[in-house]
Amino acid sequence: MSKQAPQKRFLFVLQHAPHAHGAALKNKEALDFALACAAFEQKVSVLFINDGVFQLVNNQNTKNIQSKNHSASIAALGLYGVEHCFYDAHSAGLRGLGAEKLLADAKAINAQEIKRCITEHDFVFHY
Amino acid sequence: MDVGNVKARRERAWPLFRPPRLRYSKVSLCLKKMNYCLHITHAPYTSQTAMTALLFAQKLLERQHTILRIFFSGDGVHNGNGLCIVPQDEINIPLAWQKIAQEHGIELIVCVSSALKRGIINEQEAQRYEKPQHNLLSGFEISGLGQLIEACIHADRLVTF
Repeated sequence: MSKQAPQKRFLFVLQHAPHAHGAALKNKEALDFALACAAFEQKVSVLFINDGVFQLVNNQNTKNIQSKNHSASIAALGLYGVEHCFYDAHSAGLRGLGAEKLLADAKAINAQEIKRCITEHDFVFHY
Repeated sequence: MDVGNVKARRERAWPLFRPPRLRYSKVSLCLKKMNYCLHITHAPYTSQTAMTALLFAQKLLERQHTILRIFFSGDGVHNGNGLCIVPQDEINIPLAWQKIAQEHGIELIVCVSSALKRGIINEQEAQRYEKPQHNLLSGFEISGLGQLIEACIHADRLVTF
């Protein structure tokens, strides 16, 4: 891709719990895609809604389910050039997840801000 | 004030206002021809989604729109499976993709990481990973997510199925 390629704004909306039925691969592919977009110097944000907020829970241990733990790569999203990491405060509240239980880099936003966030982006990918 | 006479009031307040009269047949005829990118994330036959995408693509081409690229990721890579066999009275979706790509010169790109994980490989990948068979239908190419990002930037519309 040429260096002069215009920058677009990509939003990834993740709404499934980690390792959930039918979503384990999906979550990973969403993260891979977000990282690829960031590597191509696009503006990328990630938004976790519904059960997706469980992906932000600290100290996940996947040893007993023989599955790869992706929470480290979510924590490193900022390092790889993903601009914002949002989560729905209402979804987190319903699931009993306070800010202290979630990754520190993630920012809680309300329904109004989610609406604005979606309209501000050129592309919205739902996973 | 005469509340009932809405039309007269509207004329006074906004003399130039005329409700638009749409003639739908004319509107659809003068729609701009656009360059589309399709992103397909579902396997054929497990749901209607891949068929919907195929019909959408056929309709776009029928109406003289162009398709820049069709990108298959996630379970969508199964659309490139050349070993797919269906009863004679049903549509073979992978072959239908191949046909529209050949007729209109459209790139069919299969995401490499999704494809390898789901066992959809071409001859080069089979050699690289020392597998005795390969099953990617000719006309499909294996490539990276960069192809989708590039298509997003250059296409007028991206439609995800």
